[in-house]
Amino acid sequence: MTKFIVKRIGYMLVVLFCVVTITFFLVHSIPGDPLSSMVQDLPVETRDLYLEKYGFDQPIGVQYVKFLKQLLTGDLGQSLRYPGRRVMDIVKNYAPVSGMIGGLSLLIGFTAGIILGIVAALKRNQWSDRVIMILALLGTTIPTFVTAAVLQYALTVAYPLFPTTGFGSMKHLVLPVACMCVGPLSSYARYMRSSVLDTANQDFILTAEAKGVSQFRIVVRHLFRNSFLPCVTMICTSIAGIFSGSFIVESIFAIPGLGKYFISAINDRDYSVVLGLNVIFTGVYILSVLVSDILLAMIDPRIRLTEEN
Amino acid sequence: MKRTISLLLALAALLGLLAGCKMENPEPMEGDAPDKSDAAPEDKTDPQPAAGEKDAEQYLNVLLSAEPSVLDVARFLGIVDRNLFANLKEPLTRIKDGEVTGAGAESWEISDDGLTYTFHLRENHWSDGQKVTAQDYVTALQRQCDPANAFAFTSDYADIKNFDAIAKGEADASSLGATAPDENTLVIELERVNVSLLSSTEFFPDRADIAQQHGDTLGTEAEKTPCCGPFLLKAWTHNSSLELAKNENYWDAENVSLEKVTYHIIPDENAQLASLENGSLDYLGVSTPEYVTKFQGRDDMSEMMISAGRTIMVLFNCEDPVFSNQKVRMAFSLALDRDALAEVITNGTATPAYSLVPPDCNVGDLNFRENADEPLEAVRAASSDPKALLIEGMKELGLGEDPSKLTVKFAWGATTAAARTYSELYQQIWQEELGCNVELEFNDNATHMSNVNGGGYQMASFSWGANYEPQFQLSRWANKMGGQSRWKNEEYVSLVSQASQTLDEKERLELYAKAEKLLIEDAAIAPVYFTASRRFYYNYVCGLTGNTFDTTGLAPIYTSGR
Repeated sequence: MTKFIVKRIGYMLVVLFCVVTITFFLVHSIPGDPLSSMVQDLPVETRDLYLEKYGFDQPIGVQYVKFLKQLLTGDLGQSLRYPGRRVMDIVKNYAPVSGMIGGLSLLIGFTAGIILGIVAALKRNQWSDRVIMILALLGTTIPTFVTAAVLQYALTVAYPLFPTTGFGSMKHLVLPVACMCVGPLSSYARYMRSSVLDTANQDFILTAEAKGVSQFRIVVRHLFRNSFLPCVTMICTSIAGIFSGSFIVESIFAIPGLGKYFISAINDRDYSVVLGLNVIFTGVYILSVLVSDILLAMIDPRIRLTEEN
Repeated sequence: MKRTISLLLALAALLGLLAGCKMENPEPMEGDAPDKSDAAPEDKTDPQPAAGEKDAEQYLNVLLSAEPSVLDVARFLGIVDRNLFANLKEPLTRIKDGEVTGAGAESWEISDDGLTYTFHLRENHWSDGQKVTAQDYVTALQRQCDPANAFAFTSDYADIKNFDAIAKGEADASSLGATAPDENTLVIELERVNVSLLSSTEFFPDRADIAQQHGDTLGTEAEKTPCCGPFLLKAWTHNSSLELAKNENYWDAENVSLEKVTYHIIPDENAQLASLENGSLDYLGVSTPEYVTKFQGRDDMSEMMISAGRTIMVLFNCEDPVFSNQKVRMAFSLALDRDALAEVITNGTATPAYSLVPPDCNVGDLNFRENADEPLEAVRAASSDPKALLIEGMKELGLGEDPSKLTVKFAWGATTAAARTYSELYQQIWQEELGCNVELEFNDNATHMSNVNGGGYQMASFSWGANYEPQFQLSRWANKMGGQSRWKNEEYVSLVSQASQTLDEKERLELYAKAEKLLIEDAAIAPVYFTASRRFYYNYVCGLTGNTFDTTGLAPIYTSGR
């Protein structure tokens, strides 16, 4: 097991290094710089001075080495578009906001999705199954920006129950969370339904039925547990995604999250922010894959053994 | 089911359309103090009627078009920051009702040679109670020219003695032409005469002790932003909202009615419209046709047309082999149907432009446009066939006589659906009128700007905001490079610089007009239209000022009957 984990961590570092390197050179190869997108006719001297201040005047190789050194000390540099803000502070300030909204939507989406999926599977081909599946289909196909705009119009303009935009109170959270949980809810419902139906066809369910186990016990102890496992592996990667936020929802509801920051940083050519956030997002994602790998290996010895051989 | 789906699809399509309607050129919608390069819209033609008694509770919710970069006068990067400074800091002078009036300075004298300005300050205080001194204004200038701050707008202050040299590291900081002989007196010395100095440059105060205390983080949070203007910065939730409160220490506090102002940073246009519709915003510039009709039908709202003091144009790259020829450029300029473009692209709010300088600009007390004809009108009257002109130009370049064999590229600085529709209109007009092929190129704004600044284009969509005096726009083509058009014309450069030093208003206006005529007749650019926006506001909002270039901020606004 230790060997397996060490090997996995090794892989993880290699992937992280590759992603960081590729992003670094990609970001620097985009034409344009942060100042020219802001100031229409910048004197060349001013532009040079600005880039010099942030060390962007040096050869790309030197910058790369400097960046890696900084990275090792946990410093992700300073924003070019928002002078005086350090990338680490941006992450510290905004990741919790995205995490809160993303976490809540995932929690609601996951729980409700699993329950609806089980109900749909148990009531297979009955009206409740049909309704749930149609809603789930709509939920996965309608883009978030439509859901968000419709909800915003319906519940802040037509029936003004919630604040239109902003962040700060529980009331502000309702609409964004509602928009963001539609996606996971629908996919978990559909996933859970097919997983339950798969499990129901397994021999051990038949055995249990033959042994005269009660219907309730079969559902709870055999059916539910076994169909739940695949969903657990799905949730690990979903958790990684919650901190990166949602650009669309954050823009529509004016939420100070990381998603909006990240996309605007790309448009603004805010090199250090793009790079820094990318390092963090990649790190969190790889970490979650690692955790789910380890969890799976613990649960299912076959995975571990194949790897070791 | 089918019906529901088709309904949803229709709704989605509609929303997509609305989302696509955003103009490619940033339209400042703060309804706030304008600044030099991006003058914010204010009404001129339709002044607001005076209303009744003021409400007991005075607050306002307005849109801020983007997150401020940094609220430090020596490091800020854009128009949003400038608009906030108008409310949070006290400049020496402000433009009020179209005239330069004393703000931080009560009075000033200008020496006979026009090179020395002596300001006498008013009694004003910072939010922590300290007096605003002449040294504070000197500090701001010192920090602005400090190379370590890499200030983006050094060129605005280049006329101040040694400012440029210090910024480039060529002179010592102590040689700056700004001194404070005593607490209340500020002396600014210029290198060369600039008659529009006070109508085009804002001088803000800054605190040396606070700047030192916070270092790089100055102006990044509410508590790190020293204020001495009509309002204080109370709270700043990045990328979401800013809260301003009335500054009781402000020298003119008795004329400031609003107790609280909340700026909402809402990037999504539909969300902005929804916010106005349900009263979360008190006013907003609206361009979406459906919403214009909707808001016009509301009894509790009024609208005002606001000139934005901005010229939309097509830039020609005069160093490009094809566009180095004046006839080719002029053919492309003449071919444009400006009425159609203004109508289609701006929903009829813009005015077709046959010159560079918008109708709002003044030279001293004289309105520029009223005294100077639009140069392109005369050219249009004289030559009726742009296609023949293009062929002539092609012959001169040795490109043959067949325009259908000519292919040129038109670059656009946005990648939205609207950008595509609008640029296709240009393309269609040119292809029909001139018989040549026009290819379109779309890039995001940063790439577009970098191409335009680096000369990597043939024709490009562009815009320049105007300033109180035509000097600002005209001098964009008077630098070493010949502006982004790379149009080098010595006569033009000397006219513009001569104008900036001519005290007599009439004479100055004539010089500006001559320069503009050169620029347009030589077709360094093709002006297309002057932008305007339609602002809807709730009837209880009073005191929205009507001058394009006013820098009074939100101070004159109050509500009555909310």
